[in-house]
Amino acid sequence: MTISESALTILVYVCLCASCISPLLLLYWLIRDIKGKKLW
Amino acid sequence: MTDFMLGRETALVILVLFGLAWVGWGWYLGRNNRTIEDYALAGRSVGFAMATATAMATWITSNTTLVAPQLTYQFGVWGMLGYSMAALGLILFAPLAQRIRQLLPNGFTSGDFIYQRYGRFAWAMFIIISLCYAFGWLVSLGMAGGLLLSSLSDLSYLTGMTAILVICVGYTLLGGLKAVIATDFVQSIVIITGVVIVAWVCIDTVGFDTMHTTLTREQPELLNLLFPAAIMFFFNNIFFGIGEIFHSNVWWSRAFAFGPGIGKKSYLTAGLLWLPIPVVTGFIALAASSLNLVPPSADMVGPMVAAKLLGSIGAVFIFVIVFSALASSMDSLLAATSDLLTQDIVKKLFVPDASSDTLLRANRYIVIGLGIGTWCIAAFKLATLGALLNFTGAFVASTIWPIVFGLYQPKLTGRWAGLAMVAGTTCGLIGYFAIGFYVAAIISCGVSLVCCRIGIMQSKDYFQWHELEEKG
Repeated sequence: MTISESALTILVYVCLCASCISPLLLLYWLIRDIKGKKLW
Repeated sequence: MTDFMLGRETALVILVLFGLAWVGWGWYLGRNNRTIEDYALAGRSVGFAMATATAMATWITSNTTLVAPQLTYQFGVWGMLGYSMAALGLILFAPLAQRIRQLLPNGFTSGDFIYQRYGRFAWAMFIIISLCYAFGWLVSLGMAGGLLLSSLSDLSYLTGMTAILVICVGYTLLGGLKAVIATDFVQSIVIITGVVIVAWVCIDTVGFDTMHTTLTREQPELLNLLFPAAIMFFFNNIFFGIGEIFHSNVWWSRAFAFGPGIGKKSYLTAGLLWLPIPVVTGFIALAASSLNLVPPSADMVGPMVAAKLLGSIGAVFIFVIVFSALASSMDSLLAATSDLLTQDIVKKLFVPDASSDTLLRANRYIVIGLGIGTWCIAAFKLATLGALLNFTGAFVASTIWPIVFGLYQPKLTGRWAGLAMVAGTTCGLIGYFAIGFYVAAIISCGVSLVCCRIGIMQSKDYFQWHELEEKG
């Protein structure tokens, strides 16, 4: 039983999109913490 | 020199620039550290963004960037999925982090909790396991630094290992946990952006259809979903990851350092954001046969594919990513291990009434000592240390249940918790030698669970949680 091309494509794209979003989320939270004086 | 290697000058320029930036920033962040709480726990008020980034960055080691492609190259789809299951450790630690902060608002280390909850016998077992694991990981990171930087560039092993140690010791010493967390933030952005770019270029250049067709023809086992050893690896890695996180002071010290109400949210978010990364770093290994690449060793498959896809820029990318991944774990480990030695050995065993200033000084000396000790052992380049880390799975998995029951089940006593760690580790090691590395953590965790359950069933004790706060 092997993984199909479409399943592999979906798996990788989902993970890739999630990984693209994470630096943006971290930067957004950083700016929010700095503005709210909650960085440290 | 192969096409994925950097020239000596370029590699040195990158290291010097990183070193100056990190050490300078570490000094800047640490200039207001006055007490041991400021230095070791960043004042106990780390915000959500920094907390999430440091948890993610620390869990992204050189293994995530190099071993995930290696495992994909060896075990196929299960290799990358199995590796990403290590995120469960972060996710499951989230509620524990909240509980730890509630039960021990003034705690410093994981050893503090075990000592106050279970007493001296279980604490001694736990400290032996923790220090062996921490020092083993530290030395293996130092060695990985030397080996990887020398494999990715013209630098010698000793230069690469010395550079990464000096830089990490420098900023950890000057800035304490605040410097570790702040550099982790930048490192996490650098690592994720780098691996995403490499993965996009891989899809764009090779494509899924070519990759799948080539693999079906040449290496069909990598697409096989019923690959027995790979499935065992998948489950073993879950328990190994949980054990590594639950017992290690790297994660406990962060639970104490994060602001009130931050720990649970940040560990959960970090786990969810970490989950897809091994798939992104691992899947590029599936393109190796489509690109006609035959790596000299399996762990070089990631750098080779990246360099083939991106040319000399790919080599710089991989060098920076690997350096960031190594530094983000090494600094955390230096800080957490020095805290453990300061609080659990210096304070508990030798100077119980030590002042904050004395502990702060001791902590700084210990950071330097750990750096020198790591350099001395890593300089021998013991090839067996990699293998040594493999069976730490048996040690760390035995601590999972004593910690979980210690936090939530008042009936488990110190004697049974200590026995669970000893029996779990022993049986895990027997499994490691008799069957293979991929069962050590599962067996250790299972035996430890049985011991803890027996201890709870026949216990007449009932631990009062408020005792922890009073003692702490």
